[in-house]
Amino acid sequence: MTRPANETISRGKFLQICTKITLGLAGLLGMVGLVRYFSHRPQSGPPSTIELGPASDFPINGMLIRLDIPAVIYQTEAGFQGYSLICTHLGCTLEASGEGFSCPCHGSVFDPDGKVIKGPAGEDLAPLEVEITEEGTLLIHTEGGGL
Amino acid sequence: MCQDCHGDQGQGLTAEWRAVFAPDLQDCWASGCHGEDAPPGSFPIPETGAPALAVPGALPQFSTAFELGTYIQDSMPLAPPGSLTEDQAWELTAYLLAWQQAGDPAITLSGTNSGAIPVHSQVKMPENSLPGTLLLSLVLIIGAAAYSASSKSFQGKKGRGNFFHHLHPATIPADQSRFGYTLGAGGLAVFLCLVLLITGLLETFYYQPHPRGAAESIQMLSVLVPYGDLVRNLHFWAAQLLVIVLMVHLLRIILTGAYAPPRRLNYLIGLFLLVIALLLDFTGYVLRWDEGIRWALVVGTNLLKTVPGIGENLYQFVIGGNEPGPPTLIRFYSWHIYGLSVIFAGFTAWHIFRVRRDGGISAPPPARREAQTRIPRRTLIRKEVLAMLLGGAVLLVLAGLFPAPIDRPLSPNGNLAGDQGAPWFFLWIQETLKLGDPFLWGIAVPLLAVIILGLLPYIVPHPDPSQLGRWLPKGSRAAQIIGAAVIALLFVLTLVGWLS
Repeated sequence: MTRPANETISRGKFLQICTKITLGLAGLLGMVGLVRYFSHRPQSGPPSTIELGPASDFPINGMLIRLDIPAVIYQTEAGFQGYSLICTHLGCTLEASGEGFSCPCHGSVFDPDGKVIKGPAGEDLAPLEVEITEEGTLLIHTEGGGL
Repeated sequence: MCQDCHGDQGQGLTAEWRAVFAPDLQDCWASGCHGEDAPPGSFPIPETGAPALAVPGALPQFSTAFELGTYIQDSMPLAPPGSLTEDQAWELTAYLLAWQQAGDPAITLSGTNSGAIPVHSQVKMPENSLPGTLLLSLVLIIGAAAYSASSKSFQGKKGRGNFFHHLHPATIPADQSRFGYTLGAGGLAVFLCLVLLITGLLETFYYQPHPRGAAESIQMLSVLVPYGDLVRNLHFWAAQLLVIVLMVHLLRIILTGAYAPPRRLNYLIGLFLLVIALLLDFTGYVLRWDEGIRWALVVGTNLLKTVPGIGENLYQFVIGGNEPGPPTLIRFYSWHIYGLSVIFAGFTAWHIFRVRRDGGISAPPPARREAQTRIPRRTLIRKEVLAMLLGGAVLLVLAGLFPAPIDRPLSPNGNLAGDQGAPWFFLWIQETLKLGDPFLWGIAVPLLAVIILGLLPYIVPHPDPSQLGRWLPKGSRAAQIIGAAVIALLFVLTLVGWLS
């Protein structure tokens, strides 16, 4: 094939490059579309409030473990205090053991006030908001549950 | 009734209006109108006043706007329940969602989108997918034009073979690749199958194969997932077009005598693929699990019961119980995405393998070919790419302009609102069923049609070899007439069903 001296690339080569650029661009657009397609998040459950019964029935210095929430609730002289029993490592539900709580999955141990005693968990247990209604019912607020 | 006391504008709700009544009627409770023993047509109202719009604990019972809307329509207002129009029920639902600061004001709620809208959280509407789709189509068209021009002018070295070249014929006789002879139907079918495979895989990431959630998940895909409507519409239209393309392919094979030896086996494989494709279309259609599929599912599965001897067992095998329910949906789902699809993919591979093993697309025997010219792979690929592009453009236009159908989620207690017809690709069976005995006309006759088509290469004379490679070759008129008649009958019955 002859080509004028002032042309640096052949017509065929030029068209080949154009093809690669446009097809690459199409692939990129397709990938963006794919990422957008997978970006949808179905609704997460609403934050839930769980009734724990009349506050007056709760003994002072008592403790309540509710594995269905899962949470532990204490009443001290200072008032009510709740902690999530979800391990801060990878989310298993903790078991009561000795003085505190231990994780059946990877062996993290927390003291009764939620402080990490032994790893691998790095963070203390999340405190949960405990509320007493005007009628005297004890409520605990949790984040929207998965599973 | 209400207007007797409340006036045409609801004036009766004010103390001033009540003051004009006789003194013993001014108290709505003591007078009996809204007291404990309210007369017929009226109803008791607590003396504390009108009840709250939704008492605490009422709304958390509902998770989607569809559940709330159908509850409102069935049970509200108090007197008499069910007296709202559908639009009024959806307007009230939208009001309650806005009151909850949920949903999205931009959405007009209806039975066909509310299953995707949660009652308790705000939804984020995706941006319109049309600009992105158009942009992608435009880039593809420019790319194909550049590819077409560059491959036409390319005269350099052949380049190293790659895996794709291994699967693809190196050269084929020029007169086998004439569009006027093949109609491009086989290649187009392969392209549609690829589209179906990709879009189907994407759909499985959102589809929930459970009766309480299937239709809702499709609504979510169509309304909330970015490009979800595009994916679903492409899958739908590719499936509809596949049926048409396969019928064209079959008609082409019969009318060119291409089924003649050595291609008899491949003809049967192709016919089997057509049957599986129809079953794939039907199972996919049922996966919508909305009011639109109710009667097609009932009729289609009850038809199995009529098979002598094994009918009852066949029915239970297909629907997974004594009546359609959750096991039915999971069975149709498994057949659609695993069972039938794997069979279809395997036989498609065999079909394409046999095309090459039998000497390529049917053409005159080599001795009788006037010109032995062959076209190189590059030319063939160029044609294929252009055909795919054209097919893709048609698909994108169909998917963009005509959304795939979706109806209200199927409710367990049968209501007669659903579409009472078969899907269009089974309308011909719907028409034959009107003629009498369901087994004879719904199963035996369609099976007979397939058997007649399957026997064509075995019982009627083959075309004269010198005539092969062209339309309507001499020597096989009988096969042409029988095949065309069967397909024309299907077409006419479908048309009759469509118009009625």
